[in-house]
Amino acid sequence: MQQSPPALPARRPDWLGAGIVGLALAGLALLGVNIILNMQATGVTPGYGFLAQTAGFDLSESLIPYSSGDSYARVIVAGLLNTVVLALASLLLATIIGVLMGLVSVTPSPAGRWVAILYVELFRNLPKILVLLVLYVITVRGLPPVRQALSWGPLHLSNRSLYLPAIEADPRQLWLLAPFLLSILAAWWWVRRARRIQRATGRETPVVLVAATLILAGQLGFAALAEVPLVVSVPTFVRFDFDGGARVSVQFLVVLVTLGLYHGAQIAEVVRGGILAVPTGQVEAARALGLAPWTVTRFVVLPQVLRIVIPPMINQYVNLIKNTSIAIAVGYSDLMSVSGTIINQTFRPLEMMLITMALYLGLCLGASSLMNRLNIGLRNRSARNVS
Amino acid sequence: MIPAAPPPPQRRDLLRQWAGTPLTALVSAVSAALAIWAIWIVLDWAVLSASPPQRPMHACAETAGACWRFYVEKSRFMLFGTYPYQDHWRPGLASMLLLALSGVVGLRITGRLDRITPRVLVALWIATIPAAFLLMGGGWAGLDRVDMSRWNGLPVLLILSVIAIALAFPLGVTLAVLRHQDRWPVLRRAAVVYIETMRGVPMVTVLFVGVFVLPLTLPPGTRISPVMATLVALILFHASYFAEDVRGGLQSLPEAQTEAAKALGLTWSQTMGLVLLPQALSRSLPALVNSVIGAYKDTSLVVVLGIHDLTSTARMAFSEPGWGQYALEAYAFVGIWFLLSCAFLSWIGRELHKGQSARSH
Amino acid sequence: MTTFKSLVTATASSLVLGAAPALAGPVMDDIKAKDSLICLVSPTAPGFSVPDSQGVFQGFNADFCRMAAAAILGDASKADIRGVGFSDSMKTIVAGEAHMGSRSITRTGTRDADEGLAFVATTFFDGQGFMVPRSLGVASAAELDGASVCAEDGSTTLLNIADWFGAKGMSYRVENIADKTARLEAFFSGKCDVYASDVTALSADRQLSDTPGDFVILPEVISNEPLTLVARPDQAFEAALFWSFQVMLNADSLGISSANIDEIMSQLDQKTPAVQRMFGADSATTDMAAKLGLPADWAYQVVKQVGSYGEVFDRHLGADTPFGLVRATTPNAHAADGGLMYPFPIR
Repeated sequence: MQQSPPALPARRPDWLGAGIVGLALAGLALLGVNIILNMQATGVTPGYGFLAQTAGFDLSESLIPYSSGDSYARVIVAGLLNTVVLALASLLLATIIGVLMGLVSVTPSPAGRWVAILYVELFRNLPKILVLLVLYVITVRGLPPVRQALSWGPLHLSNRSLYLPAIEADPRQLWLLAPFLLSILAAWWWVRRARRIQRATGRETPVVLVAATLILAGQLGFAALAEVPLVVSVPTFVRFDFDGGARVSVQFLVVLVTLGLYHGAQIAEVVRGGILAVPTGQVEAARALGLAPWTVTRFVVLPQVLRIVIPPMINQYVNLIKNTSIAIAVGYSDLMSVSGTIINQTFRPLEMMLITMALYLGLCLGASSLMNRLNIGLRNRSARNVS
Repeated sequence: MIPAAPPPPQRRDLLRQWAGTPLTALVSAVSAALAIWAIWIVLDWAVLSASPPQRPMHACAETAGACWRFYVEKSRFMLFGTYPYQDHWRPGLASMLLLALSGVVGLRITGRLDRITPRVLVALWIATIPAAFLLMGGGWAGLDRVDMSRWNGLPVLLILSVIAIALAFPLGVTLAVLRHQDRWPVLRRAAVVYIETMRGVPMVTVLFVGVFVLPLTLPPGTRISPVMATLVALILFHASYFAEDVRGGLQSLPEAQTEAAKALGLTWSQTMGLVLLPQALSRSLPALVNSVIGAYKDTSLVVVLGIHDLTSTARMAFSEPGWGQYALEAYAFVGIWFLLSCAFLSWIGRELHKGQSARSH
Repeated sequence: MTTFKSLVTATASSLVLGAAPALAGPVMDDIKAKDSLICLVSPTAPGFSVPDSQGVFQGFNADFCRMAAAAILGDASKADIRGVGFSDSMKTIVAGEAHMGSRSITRTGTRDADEGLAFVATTFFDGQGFMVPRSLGVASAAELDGASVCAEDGSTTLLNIADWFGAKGMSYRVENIADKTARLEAFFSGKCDVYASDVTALSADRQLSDTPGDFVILPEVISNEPLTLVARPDQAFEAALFWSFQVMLNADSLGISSANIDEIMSQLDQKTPAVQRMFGADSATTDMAAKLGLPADWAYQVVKQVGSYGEVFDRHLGADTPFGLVRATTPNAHAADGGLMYPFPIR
């Protein structure tokens, strides 16, 4: 396949394909006409003007300031952000659980292997909504109500939320971005330098410690210098609930754990398959060369496992993003919950479903194209390293 | 002649060297403890502090564990819902038919029941699907007509999963072929757009479209029952997943096969239908089984549309006044059903993996 | 009931109502030809319509389906009661595939203005309210500033509480949970301080707790929900439904029930004129029967097979049921007791 094939005959335009697709589009257009006719029969004209109207309902949580007086457009953004945060957090948790369980499933200890098999089979074979509901009920019953919240200093945990101290927001804090970026740049430079030195001389330089110190020092130094207010707000109990500080709701945590466990099981299978696919002869050869076990893992096993594992992982991540929509069942105000409520109020299922699907599609396609690019980058780099 | 390969080295010893670190040992110890604890809780609930089935309902009020009498009273309701009580044999038979057919297909693709040819299988499908609908719907041979709103529980779960999967499969294969070929670039592009769109949105949104938007697309005055609308939405959704699995199989075939087929003078459709597809399908079977498990489990999401599959009838069983405290029993019923049926599907998947790795050695 | 306002619910209603032109058609003839009356109820509304272990719908709303079948076909068991979601039941009635709906539909102006549906008789007066744990020590909803409120995701309850708290200038935190099991669990275990829903739903849901006595329903009712029977438009059918309901209300005020009706019939000539006008062999009801095309003894069949209004209420929602509603304390009390149930004269 290295040689180029003999010259192809000039390609004819794809009349058949165009015809079929044209027919399909015409069919869709007909259905669209039906939709408009059906809607007009009830005195509704399709359109997106309603997005500017007042939403009139509240959300259980929101990352941006939101109240029931804001518009539908804003509540959709708030729901979308909630979905994104949930997806990112679950992605991280599922990866950690999946990699750990994947490793456990190939350990020599039979107990570990059995536990891994039990875990994977249990979560592969149960509907996720069932897992979510059971976990939710156990958590809400198991944790104390807010008045008997477990407290560790300024930290409180009840079946409502996890309450944390937080730095009060102030517009002047935007200045902190500058030293933040600067310190990251410095840390990046240090990492590059360390790698260069290592490649040239084989000498190891402390990387993580120096980079972390640089970032932190840059932050605090500038804050002190510019007198940017950093007021820490501590949650205190008033009448019904804690006030002040930051909170992480229990429903968020439960959905997070559900998705982490559910997709963790699938990722564990992927990781297991990846590890077992590495030919044992390579490990033997590396050992024979006198490399330490960790070096074998880091430089022989891991790169190959990654190459096998990343494409199915991307698939898992996309599935995970879509599965965040089960959060609606336990009261996490994600995109699906918000769009369902709006449909119910405005009687605009068509317009809202189009928006919702487009947003999910954007998230999933964006995520998979980003990860594909990272994957290609990784491959190119390892190819360079080999050559 | 290639000399016989030496016996493979013991993988276990090698893995111990790099995976048997104290960290993983700790992880396995902790997870073993967790597993034992979980098993103890389940055992205590289901057996040790449970109320046995021969004791009456009111005895359950004092027990902390499972109430087995609940299953005596409510099992038939959870399985068949509001289907007329005296006619329960009909959904029962329809469910058995669909289950038996799924079982036969499952055993067949693991290489058992060799005598049943694919042709016979397809014929069985074509016979069983309408048979299930006719049995459930009635209106012939003295069977009472039963409205679709009374189709509940297990038969609806099976109709919406087994039939949706069966009908989505040919559509998925078609889409995979369209995306794989380069003879008709416009069709390829259309297939790409369709597959990527369907795979990029949550199933709930597709179901919503099926139930809210699909009826709007019909000419004024016509109606489609929610079960049928959901079935259509599910077929369109699952097809995109199957398409990607089959495409994976097509891509794994060496290019030389196409060229060889061409050299033999086979037409495009002969090459595809006789050479490429049969191999691609058998290669993509493990991935397909995975997708089928996912599709089957996700069927329980139809609850949001007011369709009463098994999960939903289980909820109804404990919404009757006075039955509210038996929610756990009802959910356990559903959970065990899914565990058992999915375990069968997973087993097929593992058998296929075994078969493939055996073949590749 | 909040169930019919949930996600899938009201949604398509405005799109569907009136989509097909209403034929003021012979619904009565259709019922008689089929010898069966197709009546739609909510699939899971404890106390109102929920299937028993044999899959037969039982409850307050289901009994009004039986009332119609008893009056028109002379046999309550000829009611073909089907559990269908809200928007689908609207479509089904408009499309002519069902005769009536008895599913806690709030009668509103815009819904009444739609063609293809006729609101007939209000069987239940409900409204949205709040329930709190007794231990919270709250006597009025005005003390709820800063509380966490559990409500069904996507329901109109969300709007009503936002309006109500907004109008009072009070803050609150909402827990909008779609799944009912999860929502109740959240309330019973104190994850939210307040549970907002229809008052009857509140008292029904309270019974699902292990300790129902630990929860109180606050006096404030923040919305009006007149739950009304819906029929396919047909003058005779609507009249039959309306007056069957009036027979049940009249029986209620005259102290007649399914238990004592046979005894009353055996000595009808000694009873008051009002009773004779309802059940006599040549009376107002037989006159109506001839004009509407009903069996001559339709009023007797309604009371005998279904019962009086008070009887139906007590059977499914009353003090001896898990709901423990005391009818006299609800708006559904008899007009003589200060309620809204006012029996129209049958003559």
